[in-house]
This record gives sequence, C-alpha cells and structure tokens, in this order.
Amino acid sequence: MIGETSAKSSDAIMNAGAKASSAMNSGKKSTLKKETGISSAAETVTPAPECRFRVWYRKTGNAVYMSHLDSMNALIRALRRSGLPYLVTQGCHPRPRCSFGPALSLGHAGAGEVMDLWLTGPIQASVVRERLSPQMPYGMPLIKVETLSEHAKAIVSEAPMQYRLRFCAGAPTEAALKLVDIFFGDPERVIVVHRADGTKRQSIAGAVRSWRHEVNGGGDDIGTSSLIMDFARAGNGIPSPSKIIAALVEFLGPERDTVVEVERIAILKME
Amino acid sequence: MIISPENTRDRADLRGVPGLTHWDLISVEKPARYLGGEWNQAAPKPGANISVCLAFPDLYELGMSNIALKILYELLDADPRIAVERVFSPWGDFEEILRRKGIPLYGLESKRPLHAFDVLGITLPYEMTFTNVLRMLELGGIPLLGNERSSGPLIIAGGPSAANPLPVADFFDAILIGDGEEALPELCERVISWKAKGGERRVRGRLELLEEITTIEGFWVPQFPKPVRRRVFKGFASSAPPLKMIIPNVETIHNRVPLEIFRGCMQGCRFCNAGYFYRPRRDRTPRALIECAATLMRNTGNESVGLLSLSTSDYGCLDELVTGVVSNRVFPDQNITVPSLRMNEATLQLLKRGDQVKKSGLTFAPEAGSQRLRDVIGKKITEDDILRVIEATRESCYQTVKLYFMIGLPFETNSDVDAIAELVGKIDGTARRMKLRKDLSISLSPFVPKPFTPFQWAEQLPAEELLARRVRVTNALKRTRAKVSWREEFLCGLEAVLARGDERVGKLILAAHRKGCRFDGWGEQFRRKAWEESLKETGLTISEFARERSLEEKLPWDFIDFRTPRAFLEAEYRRAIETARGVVE
Repeated sequence: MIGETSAKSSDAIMNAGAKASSAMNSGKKSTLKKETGISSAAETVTPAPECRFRVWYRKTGNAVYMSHLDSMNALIRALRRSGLPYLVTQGCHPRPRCSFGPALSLGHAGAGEVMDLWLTGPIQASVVRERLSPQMPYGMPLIKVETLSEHAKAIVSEAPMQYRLRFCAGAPTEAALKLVDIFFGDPERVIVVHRADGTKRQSIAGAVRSWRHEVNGGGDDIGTSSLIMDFARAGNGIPSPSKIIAALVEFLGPERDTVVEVERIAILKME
Repeated sequence: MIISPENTRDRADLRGVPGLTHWDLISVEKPARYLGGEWNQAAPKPGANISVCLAFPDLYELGMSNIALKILYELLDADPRIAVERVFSPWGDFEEILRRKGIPLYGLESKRPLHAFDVLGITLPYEMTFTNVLRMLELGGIPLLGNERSSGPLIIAGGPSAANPLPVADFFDAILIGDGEEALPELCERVISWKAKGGERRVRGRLELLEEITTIEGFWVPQFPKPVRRRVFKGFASSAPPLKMIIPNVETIHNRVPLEIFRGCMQGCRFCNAGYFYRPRRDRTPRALIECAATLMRNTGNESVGLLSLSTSDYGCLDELVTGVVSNRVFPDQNITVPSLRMNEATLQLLKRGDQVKKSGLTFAPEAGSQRLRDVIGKKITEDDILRVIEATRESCYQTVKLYFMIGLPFETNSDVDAIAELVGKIDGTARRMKLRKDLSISLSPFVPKPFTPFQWAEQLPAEELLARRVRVTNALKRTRAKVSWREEFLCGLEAVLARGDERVGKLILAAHRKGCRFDGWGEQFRRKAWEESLKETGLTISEFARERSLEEKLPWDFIDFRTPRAFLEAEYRRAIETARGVVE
C-alpha cells in the first residue's frame, strides 16, 4: 500500500523547480560548494551522476509536532545511522549534504515529503532504501527512494500544493461546509499574516485554485470525510497554504474542533 | 491518492493522551516536548513487574541533556521487570491546558498518569527546581507531603542538590545521597519483592517498605530517620556508560551525546559542591572510551560526542583519547566537544589540535580575579595560565571565550573585587594585541555556601553588599569589550537557604509553591515578591541561613557520613583562613 501511495503522489510532485532555494539546504550556502568524501576528508571529489537520491517519506502521528528544523536533524541522524557513505559539506561545521522539501508547518502531516541526499559513489536505490528505512525517525516512515541525475532540478519551496483537512466522523456539518465556501468564495477575502517584521493583511485571491469535499476511503476512515484544497504557488504577495489554512480554521469557529488532521498531500508539478 | 492503513488511524489515539487535542498541541510552544516517541525510547513492557518514572524538574530541553537521567534510564530499561519512563516539568502554556482539561501529568512513554506509577524518581540537579518538584507532584495527582501518602507511587529523590535532604524531606518518601547506579536498582528490587508479597494491600505495607529502604546504603527515609552514608558506585571505572541514548525531538541545550570519561574531581576547590559529592575520582580507560564513542555515534546518529567530567583537561590520557576517537572515525562529519576545561597544559595541547575538536565556545572558571583569592578558594590556576590559554585560542576557530567569576567569596576584599575587572582587562588587552576576534563573555555569580564543602561554615554576604560589589565589577568592566551577565543576589540568597536549610525550609518551599512559584531558575519566571511573602509567613529569614557558622556548631546535615570526614573539611577551611590572613598580613 505504501508503494502505491508513493507512486501516485510522486507522480504529482514536481521535479522541476528552476531556482534552488539555499534556505532549504540542511547547512548554509556552503552546501553548494565542494564536498569531501567519507574516505578522505581532505580530498575534493566531484559526485558521480548516480550519487544523488530523492527520498520520499511520510510525516505522521506525533512526529507532526516536530518543527521543520528538528525534523531535518532527525532525518540527518537517520542517514548517519544507516551507514550509507554520504557526502559532507565543507567548512568549520561540516554536515551531510542534503536538501529538504518545503517546510511543513508545525502540526501538519505530510503524505509525500522529500529529501535529496548525495552519496560518495554509485549505489542502487534499493540498497539506499534498505539501509535507510529501518533508521527513519518514528512517525516518518520511508515511502521510496529514487536515483536522480546530477542535473535534476532542486526542490523548490514555493510550489503549488494540495492539502487535506480531515474531519472526525459526523463532520463537517452543512453549516461548516457553507463557511468554507464563504471563506474561499469571497474575492475580497483578506487574512492577517503575522511575521517577524510585523503584521500584514494579505489577499488570498488567486491563492486557492479549487476546493472540494470528499468522503474518505475504507478501513478506519469509513464514515469520515475531508476537505481537499489546491493552492497556487506562494510568494509575490500570495500567502502560504499554511497561513490560509490557519485563517480558514479560525473562520470555522467551534467547528474547528472537528478537524482532526491537516495534511499536505502533495507538492504539485509546476505548470 | 491511496491511503495506507497507517494513515487512517484515529488521530486522537496517535497522540495517546485522552482529552488532548491537535489544537491544544499546536497552541503550545514546542509540543514535541510532551509527546515522547524519540529514537531509542524504551520499548513498551506490558508484562513488567513495576513501573518507574524518572523525573527531571525542569524543561525537556534541559532534562534531555542531563547525564544522570540517561544513565538511570538505560540501566533500568535493561531489566525486563522494570518499565521505565520519563517526565519533565511542563511549561506554563501546557500546564494551563492540563489543568483546564483535568489531564494529569503523565510519563512520556505510555502516557500513564504519574500517580499510576510504582516509583517516581526525581533528580534534583539544582536547588531552584524545588518548586517545580511540587508542581509536578500536584499535576501528577500525587499528594505533596510524604506523610499524607498512604498509597500511590513511592516518591524518591537523588542528585547533587539532595546532598542535604532536610529542606525537601517533607515531600519525599526516600532520598538518595550519592551515586544511583547500584542504589536505584536495589530499591526497585525491594519494591518488586514487596509487591509480589502483597505489600500494597497491607495496612502498614507502605511503612514496611519505607523501613526496608533504610537498609539500602545511601537512602535516607524521612519517616524513619537514621544516620546514612553517601553511596559510591565503586564499579564506575569498569562499567559501561549509556550507549543507546534517547535522541530528543526538540533541540536541547547541548546537541551532543555525552560520554562520561571520569567521575569525581580531586582539585579540591573549597566552594565546590560537585567536587565533594562525586568523590572519589574514578577513571574509565581510554581504550574502552574510544570504543564507546564509536558505539554511541552509531546508535544515535549524533555526530558530536562530548567528553564529560567535572574537569576534562585533568584526564591523564586526554590526548590518547581524542586521537583514538578521531582515528576510529564513524562519520565524516563527526566532532568532539570538550566542556569543563581547566586553564592548564592539557587545554593548551587541545587548542593546538586542528582536527575534529569542535570549536564553538570555550568556557573557563577562574572564579576569582586575584591570585590571593584563588589561593584562598583552592583554585589552582595563575594569571599566566589564563593569559597563555587566551593566546593559544589564536590558532583555533573558537569564537567565544566565556569566563565565570564569583562575587562575595569568603575573605574577599575590595581589591579582590577590583581584580576581576583588571584580569578581564588584561585578557581583553591580550586579545586586542594579538588581533584575536573573539567574543568575551563574563558571568558573575554570588557565592552560595554549600553543605559538605570546606566553605559550608562560611557566610553568604547580604544581598545589598553583593549587589554593591557586583555593580563595582560591572562598572569597571565597561572599559572592556566584555559582555556581562549575572545572577540575582536575592535568588542566590534563597539558594543558600535551600542548600543549607533544615527541616523548617520545607514549609517555605510549600508556601512559595502555593503562591505560584515555579521555574525559579528562569529569570523572568522568578517571583521575588511571592518568595518574600513566603519567608514572612513561615517566619524564616535568609540571613539566619546565610550567617557564618562556627566550627564548633553542630550542622543540620551532620548525620550524613559523606565519606569526606568533617575534620578534613574543617582543616581545609582553616587553611583557607590562614591563606587569607597570611597574604593580607
């Protein structure tokens, strides 16, 4: 099942960001500089094309309450424990060379999160998976590992995304769904965004491309439903999906408590 | 998208705490503090005979860096009969949710309430956590006073601030003086056997157990007070350190896996509680430690190993150890951190090493500014040593040099006080002359006399006098580039009360707790007014505990055999007096 999930979501996830965001790298900008290999710390090596991998994992359970930074650190430790020969960045504080997908807000689950890593030599993706999977942090199970070409585009942080608000059984009520329509349907809708440099009011016009209510699948999910939302790429005055979801949930008032999970389903292919 | 079975479970169950919702969790700062589930967490043991919760009365980030907790957790987890868990003090935001929803404070592993454990073991790392202890008991649904508990978990304490158990005697069923490695498993053994014999169901069962615990060396039981001997773990040198440490899900104050290279310190600084509490010195071998460092890194994925002790540069084989850890490399990005450095030759050698010894910050504790006062307190470093080390930082990547000084040390004069800024001035001058771009940070703390040290008889100066001296230093330091921080004088006065107090102090702690005191060691959380009112209510004053004691006086904690004879401490105190007089005259 996990494989099926990943195959489908990975198709949806973009692999073609034009500009690499250095902020997403685990280290500083030095991650893009020369790397040193595991066998010889002093020797500069150029990674072979086969050495870059994209690791897909889920963020679920109590792991959703780990911050993005703490999650990155936990994944880097998993990489070290795996015994895979990873490349490291240079400088006073070397770290494994890897980069991560766009940050998930605290409390948000992720159905197909990504992390790119670089190894010192050619190795099969299946071996990477075998070694890394048992070392993944609790609540962050590995979905699959892909080999990337050296020229594959980096992950970008400001991509279109799909989110799911999962409701408990018996919810949402008609009234709640009406509120959702009012919230997204108002072309004048403005949300308050709190930032380090002050509070801003931002329009969500153009930020939400579609939303729909759908009944969840089988198993324990029978009788429950979700709100699926497609968001446009953030930036240039368009607030991020997490900010919009926070405002939406607040707008729902007491109905908020019927939301049991906020999950990023996919980071969508760029158009 | 196809949903995998794992993805469809009820989210409330995933969190595992009945009543706690997603919205509760995202409304608090760092919710991962309260959820457990970290790498290397103990696996559930449904068939265990007893459950033990190890508590650290401060935030998760601090507690998860505490080595005692790591040692005892791993030790107890190795016993299939014991289910071990952890709990930390919740911050105010989470406490408010627990109270509002009536959710009892719980162990992180199983989320069971504290009142449902068999043993709650609370470590007391510093005195200003005492009100947090009461708050944890209250939130965990446990009566605060030992004599009010006829059932529920056995509440025990240990750690350096339990050396004088009298101030906290009202709240605990048993208090361990000394090392826990053998004493705690022995206590668990007694609890297992007591439970197996139906002790819980007998009317006097709990008292029988408490009386039984008095026979374990190191444990003092307030309801059956007897002379007690400090427990020493003699097998420390050949014992295995914890090697499967839990890796916190929240960044902690020390991002390293600690490896205790030796225990105890024989430097003999006359003010130092830890220096006497952890005696005698017991060294692990470099060969064993090199292997342990590699295992620790492999088990945790943590790239930074901290070589821990009270004075790491005193370790005879430090160079061999560092070389061994570096050459026995596990990760390409691994490094070693060496806290607790003394300004000596070994430190100079370490600074010259360019390899894998992490260069983030250097911390030293000259404690006194003048040579005279350093001689009085038994701090064996000279001004030359200090300046040589500062010069040696030239070749290193160290960015910050932090220096600790104490104010109000016994026999301190104004010229000793002035010598602090003079010494910092010289250090600053050396750094400028050598064009060292280092940040210099100075920390000033009022002297707090501690039991079982040669200065246990010494006076703590009144807060006003300490303040005047501190201002004198900070004014003089304005001429340097140093950043200065200090601890509040009133707070340190209270620390002296909690450290050198007797049985009456329990009422003071209780009163402060009832007035809402908590996290007293956290500057902005400290409620001075509430403590002042509590002192007034209980009829206690700081000055009665801060006063100088005569060498003939019986001390409240004399019933404890600390393995350092009182006569030795007296002789050391006399030597300090003679040194002070000799130089002055």
